[in-house]
Amino acid sequence: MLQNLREAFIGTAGKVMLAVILLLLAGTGLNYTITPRSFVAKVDGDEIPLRNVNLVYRQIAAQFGNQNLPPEFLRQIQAEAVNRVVTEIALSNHLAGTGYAVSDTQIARRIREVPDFQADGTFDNQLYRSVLAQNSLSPSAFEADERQRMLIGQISENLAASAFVTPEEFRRVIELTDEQRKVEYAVLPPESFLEDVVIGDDEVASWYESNPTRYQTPAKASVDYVQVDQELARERIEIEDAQLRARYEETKSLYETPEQRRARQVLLRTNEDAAAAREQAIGLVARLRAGEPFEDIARTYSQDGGSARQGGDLGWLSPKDYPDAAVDAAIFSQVVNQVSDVVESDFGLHIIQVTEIRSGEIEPFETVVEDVRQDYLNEKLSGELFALEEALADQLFESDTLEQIAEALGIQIQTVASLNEGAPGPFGPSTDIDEALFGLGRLEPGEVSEPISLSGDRTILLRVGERTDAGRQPLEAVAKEITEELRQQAASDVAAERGAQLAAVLTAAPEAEFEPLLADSGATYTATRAVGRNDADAPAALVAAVFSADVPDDSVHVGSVSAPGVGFVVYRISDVIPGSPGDITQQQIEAARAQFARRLGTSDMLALQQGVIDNTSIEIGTALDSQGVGF
Amino acid sequence: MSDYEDAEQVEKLKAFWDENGKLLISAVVLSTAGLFGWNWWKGEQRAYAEGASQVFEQAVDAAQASDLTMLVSHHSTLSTDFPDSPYVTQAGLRLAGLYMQRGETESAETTLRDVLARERGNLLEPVVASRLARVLSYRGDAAQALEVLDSVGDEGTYAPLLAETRGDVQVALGNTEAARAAFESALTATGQSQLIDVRLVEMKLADLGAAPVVATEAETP
Repeated sequence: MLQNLREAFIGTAGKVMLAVILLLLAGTGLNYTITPRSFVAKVDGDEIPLRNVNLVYRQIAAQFGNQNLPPEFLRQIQAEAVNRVVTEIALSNHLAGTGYAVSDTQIARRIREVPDFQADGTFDNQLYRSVLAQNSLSPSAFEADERQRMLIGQISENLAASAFVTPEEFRRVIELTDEQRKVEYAVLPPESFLEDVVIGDDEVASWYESNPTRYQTPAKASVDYVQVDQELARERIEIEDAQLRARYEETKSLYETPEQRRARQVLLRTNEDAAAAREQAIGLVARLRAGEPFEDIARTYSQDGGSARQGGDLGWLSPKDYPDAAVDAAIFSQVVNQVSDVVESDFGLHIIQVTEIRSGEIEPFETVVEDVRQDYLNEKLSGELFALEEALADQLFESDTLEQIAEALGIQIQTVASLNEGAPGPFGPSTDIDEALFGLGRLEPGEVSEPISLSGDRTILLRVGERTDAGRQPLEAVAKEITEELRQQAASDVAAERGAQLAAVLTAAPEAEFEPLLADSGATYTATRAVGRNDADAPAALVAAVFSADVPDDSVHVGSVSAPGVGFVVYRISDVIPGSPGDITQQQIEAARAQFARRLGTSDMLALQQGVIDNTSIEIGTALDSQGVGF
Repeated sequence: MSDYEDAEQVEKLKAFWDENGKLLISAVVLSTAGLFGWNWWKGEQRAYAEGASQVFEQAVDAAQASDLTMLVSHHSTLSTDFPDSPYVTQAGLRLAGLYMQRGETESAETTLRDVLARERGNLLEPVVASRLARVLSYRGDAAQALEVLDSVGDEGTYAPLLAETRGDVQVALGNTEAARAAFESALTATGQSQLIDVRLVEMKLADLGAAPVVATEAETP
């Protein structure tokens, strides 16, 4: 009864009661506050558990190998994880609210069938709990998730398994996908007509005039510049050997491999009768010290499923590997083969024995000197770079020319012979550079710019040399290019024109022989053959045209199509041969059904799912933005 | 907080109790009574739903063994003992599927008609209607199939699937124009790429002599 009341207080009715009490209190001026909390997402007003989102997030991330995924991508995975969890919850809420249910017995039966929870083919409760614990799940949380999955699975499996394909539908799909069309065709390539085409100078000139936006040349300039960057800063940092040695001493832990110990344990759980467990543990310590083999005791008594089977062995451990401080301390304070006193932790009572020790190592200064130097350089780098940038800015006031600045700083002037407007050049894309070189307030020749920051922590001062404004190439420079372009175009037009004439002749005399009509036309002829939808020999545009043509039953269809990169194609379809499934066997139908059912069932489920989502109030919160998932 | 303020709060609480105490007690008593009633009712509902779910699982076992007799029997148990449960619909869909597998199309039709009547106005309505229409069309009654498709109230996200079925039915009826319109609407509906086999529908459309998809064609008369 108390249990019921407590549950009820969490449920809807409880909230109503609470609301009544709060309303009454509101008039009295008593102090009370409710602090709003951020959340990941709410489905119909209920917060979704972050735990589930984390789980799905890790599953998806694992599919991508987990390693070094860019942050934007991780955020997408995060959103996808939230989306999946929200969908699953909305769907199972909908199902539960419309009379679908899975009983505890059904869940229990399902769980007992999971191979991971079985030892020697039968369900093992101990194993079940330890597998869950390894995944940081409690049985009640896992069973709640499982209920959700079963509820959805029941329906999605049934929608797929109940789907059917009629023999007629099956026949139709085969007829369509395996359909062939008998077609003969002529390809008129533009190259065949190039010689017939003459392009006059006036045509070239008028083309040049009527396309004023083409044949433009961008503004360009030559640029001298001085640059300070990380590389320069690195060179400028002076390090003495003594500094490196001091650094090495300071950061020794970086070059140290910690001591490792191999240990074994007997674990007794204390959740039932703590006093009895303690008494048993003390007894076991005595037996171990009297010389009974640790392996045997661990196998017989230890309640740590994983290690007990290994004779208590926990493997090699570094400090802090074991998730409990007391046990960790015991492992790293004992001598080899000593049997510890009873150590108490959150897991229960442990008896510890260290079996082997690998002592830690420190790499000597001489072998890691380069690492120390890099480490030291990296630390000094930003300060040095900043100093260089300051010096660069100061020189602007103290020197008059770029040469003086370069000399004062001890760096070289570099030159870009020609930089186009908008082109990245050696600087990378930078609007500041474009502005300085070509903008409204552009630099006068010889003038030195303000410092410009570039990507990669680079800062430059630049000076413009020769500059050419944007303009258009003169007609003479592009006449050849234009002539060639116009010839190609005209040849294509001729091909299309001849093709259209040919098609007209064929249409007028549909039964005429095709090939003789092509004499001296420069066309290549392909004799009648059956073409399928995936035919690789015929041009793709032709196949598409042939398969969308409406061919009369007792006649032919003449058509033409321009095939990019091939030429103009005239074709005649003489027959349509539907794909033939032959005598449809029940087996074929079954195979097709399995295939279609999967699609149909999935579609039905997706449509249902989307319908549910549309009818559910879903609110995405801000909790993820602030804490993130999975890290 | 000072003692004075504490005393003031106590005074306020007392005043509050004098004023609202009876109301509060009756609210608590009423809510508690309501709560037990509510819990009892929820329990009954859950037992009903779980009972139906168990029978449905047996129906699924029968369907997987292609045991029509057992499936029919579980379906009728559900219909009589759990008439308000959605598992009647699920078992009905499964039964219709098995009937179609065995070529017993008339029984499939009858079953799906019953299921459709149950699911009117629900999210599954278009799913069931589409299946019934396909059975009717196969049985040679395309006109009725079209009626069934048109009877769907809210197509919702199921629109592209219904449109494809409608196109197939119109082809059977010889209405080329209507079929073309239906296939086109299937291809342009939102979310279609996940729901329908786009390539197949494109073939069905092209087969009607629709405009070419890739190239421009100089059609000759």
